[in-house]
Amino acid sequence: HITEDTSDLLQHVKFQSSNFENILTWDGKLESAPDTVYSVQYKTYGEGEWLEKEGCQRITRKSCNLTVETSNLTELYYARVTAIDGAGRSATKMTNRFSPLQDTNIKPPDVTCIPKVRSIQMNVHPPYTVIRARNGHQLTLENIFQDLRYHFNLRINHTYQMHFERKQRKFEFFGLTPDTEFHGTVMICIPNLFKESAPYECQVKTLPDRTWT
Amino acid sequence: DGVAVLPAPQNLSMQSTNMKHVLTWSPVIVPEEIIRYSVEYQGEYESLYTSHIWIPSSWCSPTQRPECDITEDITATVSYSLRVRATLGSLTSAWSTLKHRFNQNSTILTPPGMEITMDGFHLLIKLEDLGPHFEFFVFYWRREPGAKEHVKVVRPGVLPVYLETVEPGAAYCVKARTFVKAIGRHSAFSRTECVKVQGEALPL
Amino acid sequence: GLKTLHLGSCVITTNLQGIRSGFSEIRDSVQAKDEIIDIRILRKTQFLQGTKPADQCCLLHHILRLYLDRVFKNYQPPDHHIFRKVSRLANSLLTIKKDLRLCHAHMSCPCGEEAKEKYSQILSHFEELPPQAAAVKALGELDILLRWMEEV
Repeated sequence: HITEDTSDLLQHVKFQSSNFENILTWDGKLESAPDTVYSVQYKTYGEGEWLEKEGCQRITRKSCNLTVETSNLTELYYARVTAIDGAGRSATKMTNRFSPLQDTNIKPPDVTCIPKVRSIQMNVHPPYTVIRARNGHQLTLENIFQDLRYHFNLRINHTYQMHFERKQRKFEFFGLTPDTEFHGTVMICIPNLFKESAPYECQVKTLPDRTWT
Repeated sequence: DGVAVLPAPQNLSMQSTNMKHVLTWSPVIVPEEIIRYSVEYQGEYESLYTSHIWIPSSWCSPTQRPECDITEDITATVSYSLRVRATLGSLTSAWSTLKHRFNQNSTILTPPGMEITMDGFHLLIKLEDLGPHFEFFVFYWRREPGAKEHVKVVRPGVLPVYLETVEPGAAYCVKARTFVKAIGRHSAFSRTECVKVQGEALPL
Repeated sequence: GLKTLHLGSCVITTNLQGIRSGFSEIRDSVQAKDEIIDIRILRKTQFLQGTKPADQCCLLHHILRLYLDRVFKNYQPPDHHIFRKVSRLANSLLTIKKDLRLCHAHMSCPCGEEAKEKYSQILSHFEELPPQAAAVKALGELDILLRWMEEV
């Protein structure tokens, strides 16, 4: 009995996660026949049962949102996809063990840069996630990661930089020259898990000093 | 093991500075022949629990030079045993083992190199980058009686880093030292550097 | 930076970040070898955090001893690269265990009923599996143990 190699039907089954929005993605055959359908199951590590993901049974797209099903941050999960093509050939592949805490990527913060005459203020908006507490309250990254810090950086015409690390979301760079261009960045850093967001960047110019005019 | 007809490497010695660890030994000389060396190590765990097991070093199994950078192999703050042997074709020497076990907490920490500059009324510092193990504690104060000493943890980088906005006519002093979290030790302080800020001192 | 673990009256400082960094380098490779995904050795019911502070030191001491005696010893790394990374983890956990042994020597690491009960549950989960499979699974669960320690 010769078992047919169907590995080409299905590759790279993995979670793509940002701020705990957990999307399962995969690739099919390069010239994937339009009649190939995919079905998704998921399970908690250490439990016996695979559960079918409603809404991702016999679908033709190559992604499935498992955010709700994998929203317990202290759990570890697996997901698997079964592909069946028009000729009835099938293949099943599983993800690595998925840990929302360790594996989610951190999105750049949303920031407002406010230029003044001799200072620039940076206000980070609350970094909300899709995770809700038991009381339904939407959690921010600060609620989830106790060691979260914001890295505020201001570069002064390629000659030097001002760098500050804070737990608070608001920071003001003082002692700046009026009417001058600055390049600001803010990053979210979670040292314990070696996580660092991509930087939010703003190009901003201090206001002219009109006190003596 | 192969028949040990080659002399074993002698005079094994460890040099460790700023968390860079290099094992050296006297070369084994066989005229007109290329001698290769293999280095292996054992952490305290291996010595206690699996004493027959030695781990080949990352960069020197084999090597032709009578030295080996084992920085990437010494990754825990425990004592390590290290051994070297020579090989020539199928001939193999006996192992030579470093006399004293090595622990990275004995590394020599040098005061950091630093450069103090000004840009307008901004006091700036540039620090040499010593690698991922190192944090830099920078102490700075205004040179006047009773002045408060400020401390800042600074990350080395390509550009100088802002320390403080200073006042015209005043003088400020800076010194720095490194801290290595993995071994919980500081270096000695760098030399103190002072700078005088141009311009007239502000009226009181 | 360094993490201070308050385990009842036993207080130790450790570089958990360094250990987690070492584990993250081999995590996918080790966990991929664990094919028995219906069983978990370190379960929430034996959580370190949920344990009475006075018993936390003893529970952690016993778990580390299990790792040093039976996990790292039985684990067969597929190559030298993984071997070096596992050695780093073993030696790092050894330093923590040595600190806990000092607490034990100073009578600040008592073993109450809760610690004994929870450890025996962990041991029974571990011994449900053949030694080699148990070693692979326990090593793959090091991130669970690290999080327990981080949350103490």
